[in-house]
Amino acid sequence: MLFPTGVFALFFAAVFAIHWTLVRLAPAATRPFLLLASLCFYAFWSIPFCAALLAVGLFAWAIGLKVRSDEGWLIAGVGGMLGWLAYFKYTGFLLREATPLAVAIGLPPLPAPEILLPVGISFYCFQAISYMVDVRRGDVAVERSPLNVLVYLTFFPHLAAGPIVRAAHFLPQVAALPDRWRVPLAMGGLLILGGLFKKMVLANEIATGIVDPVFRDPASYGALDIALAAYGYTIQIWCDFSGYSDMAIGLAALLGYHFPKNFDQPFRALSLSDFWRRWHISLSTWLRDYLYKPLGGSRGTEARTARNLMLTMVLGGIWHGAAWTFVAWGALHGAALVIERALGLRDSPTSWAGRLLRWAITFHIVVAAFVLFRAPDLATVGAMASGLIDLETPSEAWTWRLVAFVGLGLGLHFLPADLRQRSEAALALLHPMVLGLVFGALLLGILLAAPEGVAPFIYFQF
Amino acid sequence: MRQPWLQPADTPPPRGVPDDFSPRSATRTAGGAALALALALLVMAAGRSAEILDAAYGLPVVTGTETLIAVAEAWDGAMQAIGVPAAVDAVRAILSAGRA
Repeated sequence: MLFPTGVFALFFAAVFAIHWTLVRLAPAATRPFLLLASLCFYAFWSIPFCAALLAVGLFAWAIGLKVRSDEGWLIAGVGGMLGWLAYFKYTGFLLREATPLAVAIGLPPLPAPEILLPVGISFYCFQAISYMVDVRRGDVAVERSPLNVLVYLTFFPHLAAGPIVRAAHFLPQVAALPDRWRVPLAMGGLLILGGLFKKMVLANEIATGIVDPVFRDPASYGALDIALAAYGYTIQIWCDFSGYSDMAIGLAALLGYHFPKNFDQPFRALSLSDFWRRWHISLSTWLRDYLYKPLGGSRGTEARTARNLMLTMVLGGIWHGAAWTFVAWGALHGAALVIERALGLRDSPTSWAGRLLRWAITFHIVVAAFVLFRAPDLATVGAMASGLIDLETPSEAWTWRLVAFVGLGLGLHFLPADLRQRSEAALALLHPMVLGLVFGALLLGILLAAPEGVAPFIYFQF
Repeated sequence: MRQPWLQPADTPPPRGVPDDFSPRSATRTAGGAALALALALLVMAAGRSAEILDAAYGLPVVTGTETLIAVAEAWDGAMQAIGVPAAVDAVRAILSAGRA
């Protein structure tokens, strides 16, 4: 079930009504209901994977009961989760990559099984790890009842594509009852509408108009088309993923729950380290706290810090999927971070020219890395690179409309950071009936402006 | 409770991590929010009456399907009577101008 569909609108309306009724009349039923609603949401994709999701939740809960007393349980728990993730995500890739080696030493070709990837597996596995580690560290209390852990892992707004919500952040909210007198309607509504606009209008238009055709066959397109596709994908993935995150945060807020912000105008970053403080914040902070710091972080020598940075970024790349393009994407970001650190470029320059130059360099590294991220294989990356300097092939796919959409997506980064808060203050003066009509009109306008159909969110595949 | 909009308004924001919400975020009662949500869905249903009718025609034939189709037809008929689909089509044509 995708957020921007009529089916989800009906589902959410029903969940909203029942949830707040239960909060008022039968508080004890609130959590079981949220679990049931989340499982229904997930069952739209696959009923067997619902069972797998429940099994992961019960596994994390059971490990959580033991983990305080013995670190071995933590190793078993984290190992179990990583093994689960690896089976679904990397088995096919590893067998495919090992086949040439097997043939070379005289073995028959290895089987290449088609393993269906459960939606959201990378996200809920990382959250399960977060629960076990947070319990071990003492950041969160041991949950004696499995219900809270299951609600934490399955809560439908974050289930399919994050944000990755920490156990220490969310479990106290699950344990307490939401306050039915204080629902952040204007803020939640603005986040949902903004997310819908980014996904349905900008991301879908850019994807179907230029990105998908060019990445499918770059040799058929001219340099201008390829450049616009590269910039376009950078804007598309931001609109797609941050749009999803905003909707998830807004939906959770309407049910009385708080998710952390996941994107903070990332393309206005002046350095790569600044970019990673603004892009997919829930993953970058997860990697920082559960991988980079345990590896030693920046506490050792410069060489050791560089190693930790590279390892973290490459593993972050592999988290996205089993392909060399993701490894290259992570390695490029890791190398850029190491170089930036070695050259002492993490602080912002004071002159506007220096800031502009640093912004342009950072942005173009990010764009180049996203070409690796989007390309189906490294050969496509090569074709894109050679197409950029090929002035023979005419550029006929780009249009001013697409350029305007890409420009708008970039321009949104340079709006005042508190624009949403100011809009919220203006909307707070309206009666709920008027607010509903305004939101309805805006919702309809977004649906009318969008291309036909709903493309799946990019991060669903991870 | 960790929801920032439930903190007193003079609570300082968390340091280091940006957040969409703050103690100053305006809030409504769940009833007020439900009213707004219902009206937003009603406006959307008015503008999408033809799509709703198409979806109703595509439903599997089980008990109650005919009633749903009848409701969808009545709703679409009512919207056509007040000219909503024509207005929606006009807006859509303007917004999709220039699309390849």
